[in-house]
Amino acid sequence: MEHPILFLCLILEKLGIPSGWIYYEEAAKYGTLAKVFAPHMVHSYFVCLLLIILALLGTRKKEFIPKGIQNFWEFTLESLYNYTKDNVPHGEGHSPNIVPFVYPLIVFFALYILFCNLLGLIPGFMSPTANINVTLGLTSITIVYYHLLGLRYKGLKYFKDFLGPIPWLFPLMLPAEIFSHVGRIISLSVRLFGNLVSKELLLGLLTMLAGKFFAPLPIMVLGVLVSFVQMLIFITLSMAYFAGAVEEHH
Amino acid sequence: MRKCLILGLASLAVLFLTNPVFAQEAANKLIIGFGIYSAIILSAGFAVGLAALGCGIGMGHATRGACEGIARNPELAGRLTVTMILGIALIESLTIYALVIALILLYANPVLPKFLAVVGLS
Repeated sequence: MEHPILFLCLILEKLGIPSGWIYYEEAAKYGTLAKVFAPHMVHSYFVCLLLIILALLGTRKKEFIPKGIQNFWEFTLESLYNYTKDNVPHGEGHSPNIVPFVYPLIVFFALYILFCNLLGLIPGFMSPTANINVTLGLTSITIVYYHLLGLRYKGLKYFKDFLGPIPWLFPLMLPAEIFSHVGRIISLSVRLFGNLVSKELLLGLLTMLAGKFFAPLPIMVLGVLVSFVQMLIFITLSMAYFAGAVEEHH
Repeated sequence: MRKCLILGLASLAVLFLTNPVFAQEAANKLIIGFGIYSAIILSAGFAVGLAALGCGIGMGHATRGACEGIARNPELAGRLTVTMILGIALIESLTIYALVIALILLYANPVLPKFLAVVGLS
């Protein structure tokens, strides 16, 4: 099940760059360029370009009373800031303030995943997040970052969390803890990937079966919901992991 | 019940009648290949079906709890809805895992080539 037409890849192919699933599968023959311009990578670059253009448009002329696109950006960033502050320790009591470290990453995750998810709803484009490589990359950022946060705020005491609450029970708790940390990689990446891939498969199947009666339209409405909810799930779980690495457990 | 019995007996009779018609080796290959592929397709279907069964029960419980909460305290409707959607999406991802496993079984089965080589088919 692959996309028959991808406009961006077709344009790049006309320019002489080996871009497309055919070239990606035989990457040994076409060299690194086929891997760098694989379809999910091309759409990922497109999303990044879109976000940069939108951000530049928002900051072009700053006004005291925001209008139009500046208003949109301020609303988005402020609600994301409040959401981040609600979910991670922000310096009350004994907990450290990790909002400045976490907030830019959360904004990147939210905007990138949301735009990637919504891009797949346009016919002729695909979701970059419907590829396991992209979601694994996003997940590995989260995993590495929360281990680093834990090491930064707790030092070597961070590794004591792996031993469980009761000292003499650590041979039993250590494998369970390690397994739960490994399971996070799989669950976080496969959740996003599976949701998006199921949406795209359903759209493709319905287009093949009854495309001329507009059968995929209800699924597209559902797809908008899935895009927002999966973005919310991803950032919420990331924040839960960040908070869990920093907070004192017992 | 009786219909199923008649159908099963009829299919058994058809199998007994048709079996000697094939050459022995080709028949063996056909039966083994048919067994492998039908097992894969059956397991893929059952995986998604059973996962959806359990997740449906879980989602029903979650929705019931949220509805009761909203009925008792309608001012909290917005926050309860957001929490419910988050929980439902987390439950739904279990079905999605089963779907991913079913897709792997159907389209990118890692065991199938080894198994076919062991059996001697291709």
